[in-house]
Amino acid sequence: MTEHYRGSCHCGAVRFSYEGEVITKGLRCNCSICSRKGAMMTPEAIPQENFSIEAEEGALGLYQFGLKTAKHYFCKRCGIYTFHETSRKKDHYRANLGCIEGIDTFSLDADVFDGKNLL
Amino acid sequence: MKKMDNLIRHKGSCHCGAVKYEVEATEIIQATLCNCSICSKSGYLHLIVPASRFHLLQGADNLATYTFDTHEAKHLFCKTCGIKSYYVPRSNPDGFSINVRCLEPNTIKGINISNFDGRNWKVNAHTLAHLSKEFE
Repeated sequence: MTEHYRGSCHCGAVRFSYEGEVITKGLRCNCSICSRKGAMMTPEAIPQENFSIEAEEGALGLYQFGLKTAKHYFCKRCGIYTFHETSRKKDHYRANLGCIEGIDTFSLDADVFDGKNLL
Repeated sequence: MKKMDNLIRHKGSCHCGAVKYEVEATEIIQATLCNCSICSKSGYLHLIVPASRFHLLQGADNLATYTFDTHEAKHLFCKTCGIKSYYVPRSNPDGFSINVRCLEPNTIKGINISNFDGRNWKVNAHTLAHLSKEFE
């Protein structure tokens, strides 16, 4: 079962959409950056070819650190983390479930990835 | 915050380290989780304090400000890493809200989380106002 999802940052300057597995739970990670974002993410790592990004000019911020394999994107206008390219799976994205239309993260359970020790 | 509470200094920062601060609070943090439109997206965990208990050590020039709707809240985030480590909330314009997720864990003995229904902000905001007053 797949579904089409759409999401955006808070101000709307960064938008995304993708076709993927139906969202029934979230994923959290305790690594240094995920713990600060506090985001519940898509459990599925979405292949680049299924993931579409639309951003107003100059709005998409990119932050990298450490080995610089992961690409952490955020909106430079409102600061919201919308999606990132994962370090574990090249050319795959995880998105912030809090940004996806129709998803209420407060009513979803989440698995926790031990990124603090495994990344 | 009650007068007899013992306060210690917790250190906090964004991810890249450009923004650093200290906040005076109890060892067991009284945190608030809000479900409003921006908190749902930012994954923020609030510790609201009076202005006198927040000490920005560095990074003021590396902060971007986002406002919306009534433009009363000043949503601050690091221009480099995007992390929102503290900001001025609409509910407490005389204080600061610190992101508990950005505090170093070694000084924190525990975290008590209360839910705040920010989707119905107008009827609930008064329940937070006391948190930025010097003493109850």
